[in-house]
Amino acid sequence: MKYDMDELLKNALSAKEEPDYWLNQSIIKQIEEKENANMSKKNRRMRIPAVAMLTAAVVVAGSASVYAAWKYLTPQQVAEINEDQGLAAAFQSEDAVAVGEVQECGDYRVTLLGIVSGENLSKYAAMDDSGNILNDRTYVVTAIENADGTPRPDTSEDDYGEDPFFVSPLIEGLNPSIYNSVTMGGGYSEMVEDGVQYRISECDNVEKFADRQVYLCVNDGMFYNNDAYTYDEQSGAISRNEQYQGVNALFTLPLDKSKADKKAAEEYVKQIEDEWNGNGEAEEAEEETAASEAGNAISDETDATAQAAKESEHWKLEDFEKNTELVKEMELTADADGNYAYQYEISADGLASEGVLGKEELSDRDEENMAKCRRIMSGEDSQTAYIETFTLKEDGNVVLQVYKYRK
Amino acid sequence: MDKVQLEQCIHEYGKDVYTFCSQITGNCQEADDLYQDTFLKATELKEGIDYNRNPRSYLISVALRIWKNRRRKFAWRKRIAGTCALAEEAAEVNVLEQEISVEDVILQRELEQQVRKAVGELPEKFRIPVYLYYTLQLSVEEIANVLEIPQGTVKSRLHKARALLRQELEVVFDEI
Repeated sequence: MKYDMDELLKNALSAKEEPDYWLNQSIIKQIEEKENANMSKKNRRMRIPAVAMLTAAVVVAGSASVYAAWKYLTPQQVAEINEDQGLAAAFQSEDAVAVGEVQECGDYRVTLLGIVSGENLSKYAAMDDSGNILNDRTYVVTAIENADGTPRPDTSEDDYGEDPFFVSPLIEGLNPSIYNSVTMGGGYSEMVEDGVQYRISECDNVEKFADRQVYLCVNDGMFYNNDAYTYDEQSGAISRNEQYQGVNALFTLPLDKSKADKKAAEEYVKQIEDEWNGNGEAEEAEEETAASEAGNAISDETDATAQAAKESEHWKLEDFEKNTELVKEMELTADADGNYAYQYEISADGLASEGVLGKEELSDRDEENMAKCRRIMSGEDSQTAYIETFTLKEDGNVVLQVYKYRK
Repeated sequence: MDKVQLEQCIHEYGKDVYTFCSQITGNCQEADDLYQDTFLKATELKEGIDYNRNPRSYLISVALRIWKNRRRKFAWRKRIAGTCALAEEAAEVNVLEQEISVEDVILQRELEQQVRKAVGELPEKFRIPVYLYYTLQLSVEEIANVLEIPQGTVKSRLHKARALLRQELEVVFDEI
């Protein structure tokens, strides 16, 4: 009897076993549980509100740059953990630059991991105060560690955020106290993995300034700290204040000089300048009206935020109570300069916010003492937005109320 | 990957992956563990299960990696764990549906069992390509990708495996 070895092997070895139904169910359940656990780890996503600058005391600092052995997550991995596949892919592209430069400042070690710029890279659309999409962005990933090797607090821990950092590009020739993340549409997402705090910072694309020196500052505190850096108005150079004792890391961003665009840069500087001087509002309002009339300027993605901004513009307290859900209320006390700093999180909504309300923003109030200045943040989905309102009390304190708006 | 995609993936490739796990471990319990760990690991790895990039090969390569990492442990566990006759149970055929004699069926079953035994005794470098080629019917190119070896090496290992099996089964062929 002659046997065909191929045939024989196919018959003898063909796939006949099947996994048990319950084994498959167990796998599905475990994967679901893992995913839920990961989701609840909460990556913080924050917008930096446009607010007054803070200053701090002048002290002493020391730092040295070295290049990291690659023990950190890559920018791509950080984006993946942040569930942003588009940005992860961008960090793998030719346009991305991996850096790995480490600077140690006092009790912290700061590492610049990588940078990428471009249009529509992230699935998380950033918006300006009017709810317009900001799609041409620069993303920078940094890692912050405790220099003594102890882990940074996880985002779910109470002491997370107790020692905040401000990360921002700075541009040679432009006053950093004005031209930084706050005025450049900045925002960030943050996570802690294996005791290392990773931050994806984003702001308007800075490549247009590539023919100048573009820096990345990482200082302690919630805003740019004038005392941590020195700005030479003559040369336009920005440097670390060596006397400063807190965190004042300063990196040079490796940008492709060929992407510099003088005209766009000038226009952008002018735009910020106008906004800074309060000249841009009328123009913006006109643009908004035109867009609204055209009926197609705001995409579905931004609808909730834009709609919330538009609808709530003339709302009084009773309108908020009628149309939204109050999700947070806290009392703010003025600091020495008369400004009101705040920071809060709403765990159930995965929302965290921090900011400073300048005293001048309270000057225009309605009859119930609610400031006409409101801050609107996008929610986790395109249907939700959050509106922060500020009401001045007789004792000088301010009541911050956060309303959840559903489209 | 959401729940629906995962279920679809298990539905489409679960049987192949499980058979492969059974073959390389030769033990029910180990096969279950390896199968389960393969899916858990595959969804956890940064590359993930990608429907556009041959998920079956990907799952098999993950299974293989896990199994190789655990071989030592498997070696001693095998000595104390009773192996169940996965292959024999699975090789049951419905005699009534076949237009062949009961004697032929028994002979065929006996022969296939001998073949499985002989394959199971092949050195690993020949055995794994045989399973991938005959059980999962992966192409030479796919096997080369899974094992991370050149296609020529896959061909020569399959050729050598067949030669070894012919030699091993010569006596069986003669007896039947």
